[in-house]
Amino acid sequence: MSRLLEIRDLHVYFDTPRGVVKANKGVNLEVDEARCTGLMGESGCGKTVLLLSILHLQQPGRMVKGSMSFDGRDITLLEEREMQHIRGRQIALIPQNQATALNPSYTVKQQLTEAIRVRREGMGSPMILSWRFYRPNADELREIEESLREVGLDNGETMHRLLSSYPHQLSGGIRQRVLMAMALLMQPLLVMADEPTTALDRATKVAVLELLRKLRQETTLMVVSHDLQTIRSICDYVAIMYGGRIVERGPSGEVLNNPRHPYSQILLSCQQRRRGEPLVVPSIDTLDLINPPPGCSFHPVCPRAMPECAGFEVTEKLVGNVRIACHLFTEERRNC
Amino acid sequence: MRLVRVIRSNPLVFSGVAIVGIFGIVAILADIMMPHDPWGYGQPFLAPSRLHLLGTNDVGQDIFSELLLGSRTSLLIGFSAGILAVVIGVFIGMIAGFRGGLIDNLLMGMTDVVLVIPALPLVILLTVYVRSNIWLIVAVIGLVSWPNTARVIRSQVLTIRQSGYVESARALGADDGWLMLRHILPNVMPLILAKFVLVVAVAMLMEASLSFLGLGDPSTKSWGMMLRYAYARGGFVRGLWWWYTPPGLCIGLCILGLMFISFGVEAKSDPRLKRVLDR
Amino acid sequence: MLEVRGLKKHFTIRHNPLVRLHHRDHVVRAVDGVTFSVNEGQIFSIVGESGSGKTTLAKCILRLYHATGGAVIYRNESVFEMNKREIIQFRRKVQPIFQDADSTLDPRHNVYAILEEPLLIHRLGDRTDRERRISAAIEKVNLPSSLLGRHPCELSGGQRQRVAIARALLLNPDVIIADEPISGLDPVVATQVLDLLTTLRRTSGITIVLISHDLDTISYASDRIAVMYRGKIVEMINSDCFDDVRHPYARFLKGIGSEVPKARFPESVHRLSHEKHEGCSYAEHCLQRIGVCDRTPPELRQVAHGHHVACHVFPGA
Repeated sequence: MSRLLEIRDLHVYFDTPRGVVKANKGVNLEVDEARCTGLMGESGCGKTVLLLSILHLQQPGRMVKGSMSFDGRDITLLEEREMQHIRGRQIALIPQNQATALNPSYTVKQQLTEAIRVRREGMGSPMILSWRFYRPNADELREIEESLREVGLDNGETMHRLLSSYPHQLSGGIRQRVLMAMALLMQPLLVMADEPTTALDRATKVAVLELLRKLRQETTLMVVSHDLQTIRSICDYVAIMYGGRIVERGPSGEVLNNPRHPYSQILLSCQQRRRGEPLVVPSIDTLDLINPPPGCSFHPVCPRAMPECAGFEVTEKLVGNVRIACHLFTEERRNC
Repeated sequence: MRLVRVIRSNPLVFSGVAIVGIFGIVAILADIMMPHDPWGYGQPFLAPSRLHLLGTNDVGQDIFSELLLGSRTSLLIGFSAGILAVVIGVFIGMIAGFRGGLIDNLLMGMTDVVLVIPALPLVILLTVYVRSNIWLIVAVIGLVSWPNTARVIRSQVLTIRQSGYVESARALGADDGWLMLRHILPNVMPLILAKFVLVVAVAMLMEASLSFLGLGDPSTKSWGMMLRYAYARGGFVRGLWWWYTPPGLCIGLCILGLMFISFGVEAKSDPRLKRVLDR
Repeated sequence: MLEVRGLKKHFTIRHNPLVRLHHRDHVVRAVDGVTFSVNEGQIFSIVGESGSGKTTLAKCILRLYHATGGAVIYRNESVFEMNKREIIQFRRKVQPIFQDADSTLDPRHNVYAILEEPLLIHRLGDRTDRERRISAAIEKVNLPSSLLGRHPCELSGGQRQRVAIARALLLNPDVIIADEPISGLDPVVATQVLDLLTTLRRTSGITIVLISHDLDTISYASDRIAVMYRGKIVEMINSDCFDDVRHPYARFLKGIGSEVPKARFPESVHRLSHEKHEGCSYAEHCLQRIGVCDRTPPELRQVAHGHHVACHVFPGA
């Protein structure tokens, strides 16, 4: 298994009138080829910023520190023009909000054609001015239909209707699939899906999960979600984020079944509670990302906080197969 | 206070308020500030000097004093017409948007009819029958400039009426009057203010045009009347710039200030921009 | 306490014949004959996907919509027949918490003004009394009183939802109708909000009607669960025996077996068509359908004590 993406000590800051928002502060993450990596965390923990930073789309945020390499190549300081070659064609992003990610004034066919054209000819193609730009030829049409079939939109009769539909005519689940088809048409090395299952109802969610599971066989996948079911059913490797930092990461079986970081324990227990079980949830409210608490940012609400939690910055420690950023653990022996 | 903070945080609004504020103070204190009686006769066609800051006109009236007194008339007409138009517009817009149905259709139909009435020809027509005075002008301008406000307010009220907080207040037991005064009116307030300022600007311009056409009230001093006399009595021909430039400049500056306020306030009422400005 | 009998709400979508000649008006049966009753001190959950008519149902109960048919009985009085004074009293006792607290709080008011509003509407107490009540309410929902001067946009999602709950509590209601109180909240925050609601039930004996699409999250908090599908209740069950659900749709929601309704996706390429179904509305997706499903709609029948199912495959006991 070769390493596809490697992120080292990434810091992304946003300048706001109120102060500097530290959205990512010291993220380390490796994504191996043909593995599905899951990023879990609540809103505001910096998971979407991390995804966007990989594509250098984090504007207006600034990458302050850290390095990223993709496919053996350092992409930290890559020029915008070169990034355009990587975006879509090597790393595809399935965006968070399927309701707004498709252009409302083009049909599904036109948007998918655009994806093919961009893949084949790049941004600078003079074709973009041609009125035929959005008209696929027979080969391209076949490819489009193939890609839609791949995401489970296969039905001889409805295919025609689907292709000539505008995004607002489609349900959320279908839009999500069209976006996936679009990402796949680019034949990327890495597919990143941002919250692919939120805002979908149960039946659609089950189907989208099925699809992601299938997709996982074919390409490297990175999934951002706060939904345990999504992560559990498709990911082999899980990273849990809190306050701009990855607090625990490791093989999904170990992290999800036996979370060690106090925050992971709370986050996961919330979603697999049984009836009548006692509550262990401390009051976590939005973390102040401008003036984060000193030391470990989780310590003010951590049920197992110790005095040194406020004093020292946490570093990742390898415990078994899992890397944990918490003062409760030390490299050599497992505490409690 | 919130309003002060808004004004200070936005340079556009700040400069607008400053310009209009200065004109307002001048208009109020005109009697004290005037160096001469603007109605008194004296030596005509004097160039600017220490005695007459902007010289004198064809009958020897001090132009600087005329200018000060004229600001009062212009602003009075502008603001009165603005208030009239906005009160009508807000009333109709709120009722139409909030009630909906038949009332909405009737009121909006009426609005459309008024919308197509051209103000200037109407005033010209009326002055044929009625002797022109500033209140006639105020009434006409006010009565024809409300439809725009009414339409905008209505559409805003339609959105607010659907919003969660109106619905939850209704579920708390609030009646229509409560909803209107406590939730809908405060939320359309920035819009009202923006529209008000625009109507004021339009009214001031219209007053100037009417006066210039000779349909103004000859017994009052206004910037429009000054321009008219400067034009009719040869000020332009003789190149007496101190006669025709100041009133024109004042009109322009005043409207610029009003526009600044309007833009700033409108940007503030736009929810997408509001988040940014609130910070 | 609260009883809903055969409640119906149909929306008629009119097409302008000048614009679209070939479209006829059609009727969307958002709520189509819903009957249930909630006992005092119970947490009654209504679960269903988006578009199943849950929110419409809540708004009909609160008389924010005029129902097409049926009745809502609150303490032996019909809500739809109440006069203006009675409805104000009813609204004092039956409080809603709406989906998306973000939009239910007026952005121009600060938290204090938002919380003061219900007291002002019902003219309760003088100034000091109101202050006392507000600080008590804000304490009940575990918010610091320093928040009172802030505006909704300065609060986090969980805090906003708590302000909404505090506002509902200020009038000491008997019933709270919470429409998707946790949708859009992160799991940890959602758990906190749910805990708050269950605690309130325990401490003040409030009856709660909980409406949600997320069965997993709310099932442990509720006493009784009704599953809605396309405007109808398909199953009603006490939640301690929730593992016994029978209706194929409820089983699917619960994640029992691998009953993914396959037929669903090609059909929903274009949004749900709202034509009236002859038989069971779930028939086209149902893996257990039998002949009668296409012809007659099933009635809600009792299969065990406190357990009702509307399905031909599981006829009544």
